[in-house]
Amino acid sequence: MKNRLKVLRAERDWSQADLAERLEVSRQTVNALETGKYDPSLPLAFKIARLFGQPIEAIFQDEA
Amino acid sequence: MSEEKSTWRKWALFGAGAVALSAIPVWLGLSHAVKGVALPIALFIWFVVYLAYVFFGTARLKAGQIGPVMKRYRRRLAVALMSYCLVLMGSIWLLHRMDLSGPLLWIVAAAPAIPILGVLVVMGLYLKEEPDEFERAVHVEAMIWGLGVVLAVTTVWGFLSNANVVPAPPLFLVFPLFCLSWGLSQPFIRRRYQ
Repeated sequence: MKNRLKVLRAERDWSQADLAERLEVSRQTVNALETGKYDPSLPLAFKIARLFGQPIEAIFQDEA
Repeated sequence: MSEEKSTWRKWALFGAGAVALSAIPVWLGLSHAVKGVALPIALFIWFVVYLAYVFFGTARLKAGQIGPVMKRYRRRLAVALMSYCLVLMGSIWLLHRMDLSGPLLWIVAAAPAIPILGVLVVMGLYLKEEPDEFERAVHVEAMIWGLGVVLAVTTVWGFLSNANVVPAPPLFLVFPLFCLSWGLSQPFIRRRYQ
């Protein structure tokens, strides 16, 4: 699933490791999320949305 | 990219070291350089050294990537494997030296399986405790690959032994085969998500 994680992270000048620490996941997880190859669970998606202060659908785009 | 390349080289070097270390017990067994009681003691020392090599080696290679739950899992696994080695040697010694029968024989013969069942519990605890859902997903997927390899190998081997082409499969090796294919499938699964 496409997402704007990389852009949002760059806007805040965070590294993948910074974002990983804030989400309490590994850096590999952040990488897998950013490439769009791993779709987060609802709890993690909400956590990401809260962290960036945006609704989930503004961060993740359903390609359907 | 170049960083990834050098990591591969380090892993290859580490793997070569592990293979070289694996040759020691084979050499010990075949050469008769160490005999009697000294042989199991030498094998146990080798096993501890081997475990330490794998434990600290992978910790160095994956520096900064190992979370607290993974660390706990690795420590528990090391304890379980070390007790497996001790119980296995004790069991073999008793089976050879004592004329056991009845329930005692059953208990002594099955004893080495207990720490291995402990390994299963340790694996289950890891999946339960791991807070990172992606890590969990990778491990579950890798376990399914391990299961697939085990089912494929044992099914083919089973039919071959039915036809007396090969001897019956050594069932105690099914679990190590599962662990090996679980471990080896992980880098390939992780690559898919990069």
